Amino acid sequence: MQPERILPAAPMPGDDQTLLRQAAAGDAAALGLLYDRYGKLVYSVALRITGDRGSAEEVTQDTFLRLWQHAGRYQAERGSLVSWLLTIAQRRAIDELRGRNGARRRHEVSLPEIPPLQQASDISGLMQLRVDLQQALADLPAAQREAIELLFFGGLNRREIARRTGNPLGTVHTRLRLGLEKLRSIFLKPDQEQESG
Amino acid sequence: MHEDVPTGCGDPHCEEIAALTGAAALGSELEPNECARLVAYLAGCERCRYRLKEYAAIAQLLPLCVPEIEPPASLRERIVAAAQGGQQSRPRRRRTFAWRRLLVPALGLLAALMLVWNLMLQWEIRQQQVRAAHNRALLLSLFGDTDARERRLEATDVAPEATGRLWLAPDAGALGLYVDKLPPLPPDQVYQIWLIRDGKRVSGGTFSVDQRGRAWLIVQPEEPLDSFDAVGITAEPEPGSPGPTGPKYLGNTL
Repeated sequence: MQPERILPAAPMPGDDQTLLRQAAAGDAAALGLLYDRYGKLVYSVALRITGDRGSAEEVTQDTFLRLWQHAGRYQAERGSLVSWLLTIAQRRAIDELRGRNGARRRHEVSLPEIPPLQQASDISGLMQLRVDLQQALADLPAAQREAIELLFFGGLNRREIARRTGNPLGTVHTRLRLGLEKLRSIFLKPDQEQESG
Repeated sequence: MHEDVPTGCGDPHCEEIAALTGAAALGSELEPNECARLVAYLAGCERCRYRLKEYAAIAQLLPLCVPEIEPPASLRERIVAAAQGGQQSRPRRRRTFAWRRLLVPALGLLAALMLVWNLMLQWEIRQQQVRAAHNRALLLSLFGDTDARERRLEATDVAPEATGRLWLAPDAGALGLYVDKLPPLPPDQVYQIWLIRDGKRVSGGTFSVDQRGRAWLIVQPEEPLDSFDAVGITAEPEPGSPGPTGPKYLGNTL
């Protein structure tokens, strides 16, 4: 019997840290590899918020160019690269959305002020986390999910959410908080709480 | 529908503050009065600070909920090319600014005046919104960032009951101060916080306390926060002094 041909192992692409170091040193190919890893996710977030392919491309490009410019400042111990990228993309996309709607842009921040969560640094863990998050969000009461989505992805402020949903501002606050509490109880395990506390 | 209310710190205002905290963590901008209230409360409530960190962490996860959609194949090439070319970003789509109307002479003086008025209103709104966004960013830097450093201030014999805490966010260049049980001063005096470097003192601002001796203050020095090695709080004549002249109430090294 013909022995099964064993394909030579494909060279392992560098991990995020290695690629970031290379990008910081001016290696644009490393940036390309990081894009291969996270570009689709960044673009998807940008498209979800802006609802426009052209804007989403612009936000994605800005996000990766910001990474390119600040690669040397990224601190791995403060969290995963994907959180870092998605935070930049989300804020940039909200700015784009608000700018398009006639509101002013938020002040530019070069890096997220919030330390990215230490989670899902590997791709398989990231995929599982995505599934879990989608499920958890879907399981929220509709009113809480709507409030979170309108603020976080829709670029509306709290008063605009109150007007759109026909609820008092206090109700919007409560729904946002209860939704967050539910997600917190699912995704922040006791050991993490101890660490952050 | 029954919605469970999480347990707070027992203070009836805590749940109300938690609601505002959740909004801030999700990216909602804060009005100056909201920010002031939130900072004052966060400074005095460990449970609320802890909650802000948790909410901020959850907000970081939310983008992962989005279903993936394939970007156009050309985007990768454009990004790499822009990086190689040192290009900041591709040319932005042109936006229609209101000031362009000024270029149309036919609009006349009345239109120009209306435009100026409109721009002034827009500018004022923009300033308010920038401040609101800045407020939120500062708040998260001071209380939502796990890397923010916290320091307790030591009371002196002048007011041994007094307590004080600092939250330092060097990246944001900001320092949050919360004091408690400082004796209220006569109307012609204020408390003044000093940032100290090599024995030289730079004023970080003045403040007064309420009847319980509480106050909070955000200090944003022009120079890097890490360049200072200590802080002190003294009582000074209104509206503050160029250098400390009164007794020291609180202080510590940074």
